[in-house]
Amino acid sequence: MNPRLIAEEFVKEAGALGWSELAGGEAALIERCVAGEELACAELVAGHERMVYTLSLHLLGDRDEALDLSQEVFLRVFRTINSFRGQSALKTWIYRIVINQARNRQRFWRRRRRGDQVSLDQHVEEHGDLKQPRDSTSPDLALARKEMAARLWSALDELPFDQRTVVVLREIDGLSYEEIAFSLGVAVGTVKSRLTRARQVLRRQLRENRT
Amino acid sequence: MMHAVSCEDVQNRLDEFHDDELSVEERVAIQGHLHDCVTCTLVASELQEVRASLREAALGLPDRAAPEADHLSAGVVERVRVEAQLSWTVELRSLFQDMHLVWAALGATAATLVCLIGSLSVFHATSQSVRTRWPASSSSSPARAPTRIPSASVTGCAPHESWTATAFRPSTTTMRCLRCRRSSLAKDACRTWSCCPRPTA
Repeated sequence: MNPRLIAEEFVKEAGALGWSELAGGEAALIERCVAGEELACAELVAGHERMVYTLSLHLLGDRDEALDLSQEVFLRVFRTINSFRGQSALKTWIYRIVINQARNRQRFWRRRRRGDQVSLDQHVEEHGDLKQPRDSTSPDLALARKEMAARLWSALDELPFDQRTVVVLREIDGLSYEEIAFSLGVAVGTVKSRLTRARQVLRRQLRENRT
Repeated sequence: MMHAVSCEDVQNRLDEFHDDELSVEERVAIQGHLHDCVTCTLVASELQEVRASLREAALGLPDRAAPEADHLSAGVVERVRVEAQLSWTVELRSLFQDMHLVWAALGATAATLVCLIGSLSVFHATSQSVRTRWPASSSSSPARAPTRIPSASVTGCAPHESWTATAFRPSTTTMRCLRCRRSSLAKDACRTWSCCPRPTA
């Protein structure tokens, strides 16, 4: 491939949508929220609360923190919804707010609770075992898979926040590179490089666990 | 077997292949390579396994099914209503939400003040020095024009040819030695000057 094209692609910014490209219902909902209609605000929260909580939980790893962050995120959404100009889908814009808030909170946590991290075994003792996945394969294989999943999740927790976020958005939430780039406020090339570095670590962990 | 694309090329793009971010042509080329190459197939299968494991772990998180997460709207709407009533305090608080920015702003303000004070000090010292060294240069301003007066009448010392006295105001009368260029307040001139022969009374 032409190196110039590769370079252009590397610095390609996240794509932007216009108001016209937003779903009609979504645009109307936003307008009602801007007008201060409480019913519309409640509707917006109800439509996104599960997504916001789950992402917060994946990024912070703590239920109470995730619930608290979810509330903060929606307050932030309503404080700044005036400035939303349809530059992305509403969901992607909310993702961006979640990530920014989680990053701030995580800095706060790291400063205060650096020494409070617990091992996976301790976590399981305190919070119970991970749920048994519905699996038709043999119990041994299912157990091995479950252990592998737990160790990879633990390795994911060890990654720097930006790399962890990219992995969560891609592997679990299934966002495209452009959506991730907008959510993080970085170029698509940065998303690719962070994803590659994070996956190298996770693959190494995978190989170590096999041996 | 010869491959249309090298293993290095394929592995560089395997993440995008795995994420379905490639064009159809590129996907076909990489798919063909994977069909023949064991090494690259192993990497691709690791990527798939990582994804499957992470999804399984995420689904199995004990805190995932928090019922409170499905009832946020009432609390949020109530807080929005309260905040609307106290909006100016909220705006003020939001300015201090990220303390990194606050510290940066305070630092920048302090640095600006230090620079400003430093500049003013230098400017003040320079203007004083110029006034002392070239008193005649300010003759264009009648109010500030120096007055040459006999040194003996100021200090009580005998007149000396190398000294000259300059008075901008009565309180700032200075004595200046024309040989060594030192200057001093008139009241201290006889006592402190040792650069030139001390005049006899």
